[in-house]
Amino acid sequence: MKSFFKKCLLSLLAAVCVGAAGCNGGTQNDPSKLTVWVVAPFVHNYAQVLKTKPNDRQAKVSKEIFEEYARDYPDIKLDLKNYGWGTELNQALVKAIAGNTAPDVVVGEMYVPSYIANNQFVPLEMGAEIENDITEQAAAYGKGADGKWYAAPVWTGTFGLSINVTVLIEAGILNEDETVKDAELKAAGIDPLHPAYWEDLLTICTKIKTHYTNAGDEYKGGMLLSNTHEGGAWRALAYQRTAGGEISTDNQTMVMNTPANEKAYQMLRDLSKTAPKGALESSNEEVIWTQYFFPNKAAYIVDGIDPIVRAGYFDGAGKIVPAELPTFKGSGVKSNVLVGTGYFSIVSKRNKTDYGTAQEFIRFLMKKENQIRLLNADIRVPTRKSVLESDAVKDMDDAAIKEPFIKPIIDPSYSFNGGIPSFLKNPATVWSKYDYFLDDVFKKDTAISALLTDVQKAMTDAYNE
Amino acid sequence: MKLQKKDSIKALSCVIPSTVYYLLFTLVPLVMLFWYSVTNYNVLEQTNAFVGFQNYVKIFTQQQYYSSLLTTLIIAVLIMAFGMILGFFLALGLNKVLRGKSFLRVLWYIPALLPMAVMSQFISILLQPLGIANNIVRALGGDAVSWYDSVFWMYFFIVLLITWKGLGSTAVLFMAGLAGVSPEIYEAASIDGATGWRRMVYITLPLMRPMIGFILIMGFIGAFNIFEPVQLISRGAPRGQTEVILYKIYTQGFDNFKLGFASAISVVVFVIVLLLTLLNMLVTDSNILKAEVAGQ
Repeated sequence: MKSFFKKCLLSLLAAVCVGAAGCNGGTQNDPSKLTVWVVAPFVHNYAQVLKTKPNDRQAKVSKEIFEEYARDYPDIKLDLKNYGWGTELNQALVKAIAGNTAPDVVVGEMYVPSYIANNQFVPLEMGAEIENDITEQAAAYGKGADGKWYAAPVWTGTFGLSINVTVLIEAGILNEDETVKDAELKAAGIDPLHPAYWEDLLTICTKIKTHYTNAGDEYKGGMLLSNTHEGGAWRALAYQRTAGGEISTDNQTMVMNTPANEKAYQMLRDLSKTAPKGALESSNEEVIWTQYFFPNKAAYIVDGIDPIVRAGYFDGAGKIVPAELPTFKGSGVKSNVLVGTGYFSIVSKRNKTDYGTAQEFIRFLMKKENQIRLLNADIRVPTRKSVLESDAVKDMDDAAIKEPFIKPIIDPSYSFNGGIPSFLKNPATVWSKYDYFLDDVFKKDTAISALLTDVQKAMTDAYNE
Repeated sequence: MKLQKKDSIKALSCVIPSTVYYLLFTLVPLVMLFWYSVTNYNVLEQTNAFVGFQNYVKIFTQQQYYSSLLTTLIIAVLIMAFGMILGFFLALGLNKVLRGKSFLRVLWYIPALLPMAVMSQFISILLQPLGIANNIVRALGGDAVSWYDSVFWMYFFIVLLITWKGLGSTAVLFMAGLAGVSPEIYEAASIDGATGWRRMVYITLPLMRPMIGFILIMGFIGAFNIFEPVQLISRGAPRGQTEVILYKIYTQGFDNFKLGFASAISVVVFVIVLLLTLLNMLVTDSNILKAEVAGQ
């Protein structure tokens, strides 16, 4: 009889243990461990990556930075994890918060303001030296309505114009020595390697598309555009801002239906006619780069630093160079978008009051030395003014590549803050309305003004649903 | 008497762990689901107030949710139609094979073992603008197809994937049903001059009715669990026309942070699946009863 009860109790205990394992609150209250969700350029498993790819620059810089942290804080064990970026990261964080398994520190960008507005993050204590040194553009997402910092921008980026010189030569726009070959462009003073205006870029791309169409190759063209979920909105914003437009105001009011936006989206539509066939059906930026840009099927793309860096690892990629983002003739607006910013925040936890370890970690990440390391390793633009203005940045290798992406932040003639808006209510539904609108811009003939009127209403209704 | 008590205790010791597991991981979450469905639980806004049937009113008054249910139903009908017909003939064929039957059975069952997420990603890669699918089309002299702009093609690939994955399982179930048909009935029919087609229509199909009914209803229940193909292939494209109900639950809960509202949609789906399950039990029990009566 005793042995039967013993078996019963053991079985019950086993079942309870299984259940309890699923309810693990993790190491939330263990001061000796810090769980951090990271994303590229930080590699969470850098040690393993370096075993097979010893020259992986992101893994190397991760090792450098995190091993220094381990030396400075030998009593703290870092637990690095990667849960993706954008929507994927947001979904993972929502589930973690709901399940009480959120990390101590989390990276993010697009959804950061909504978490700040809902008190999900703890105010940061970076100190005046760091806080006063962060650029205004980066502060847009990182600060709450109370003026406190909740998200530290460890690195950032902007958009530039990536140019495939090989395609320009092949299409007869440039000579082999990269001087201008096309007589019309020469006469108009248009430099295909530094087009100052979107209108000039359209002229060049139209010529490229005509060249390939006449040659019977509709799968090559001038301009590559992003019609992808999320990616499309970011890149379209670059056109909007250089026309003087925006998606919404700071208080979440949609402002799509403006003449500036009409100008921007008309240009997008005109440029889309020069795109290679099928490019607008790509599901993500990776496909656009690897199936069109690197294999020399298009000459131009508006993007961050990634295509420039990744081209070096793609067999058969043409010569890819960067240039500053054009603007519109007559608008006088020099603008850009802060994109790919790595904001690090401390997640607020129930029954936790001491966030000292996490605060120290944030201060460590924001060190000037780390920003310089990230710039050198992966061309991640620093967010600290003192770093941007330092000789260390000015004298660095590949200054010609870095400049188009740093200039919009340090040049006072540029005016912009942050990236695409972070909607506090129904973000998925609001952005789905935007995605349909952008698709119509590229694929339908409906007047842009009509499309903007419709999307203004659709996005507003979705937000207020 | 003592012996019975001992047996009873032994039986309880076997039942208790699984009961505790069921309570912890099924019943408790189910009760929580019903509770959340009548609240405005939002993870981000940290709201969790009782709102009565407000969520349900929203579901039944907004056209987008009827559309999602309709999409789910259409996909379910297509999967069942193709899956059952192909599965049935595959089972017939495998039944007649003399050599290599086991090997072929395993081969056809392999897709059932592959993770749906992996297969969905594979299809997604095939459908890229310059992916294999378009390369084949161009090689055959056609123009590249905008797969994601077409409702037809999105339905096609989703249905194709799920049908292919489930074909082996469906065939195995049909083979089990065929095994229950006595060969003597076929012999008797052959003696009476019945051809293969007539044997199938007048003997095989009627006797397979319980199994067909079971597969049909289980298939419909399975259709309400479709998620990965939509999430990883179409993402609802074009323009939300392939958004199945589970996809709607996911986006409301984890993209819009509205776990309360997503719970309400989940309860609606739960009720539909429960009704289908009860129907299945009714059909199965009725067939068993008929078989028993016929046997008597």
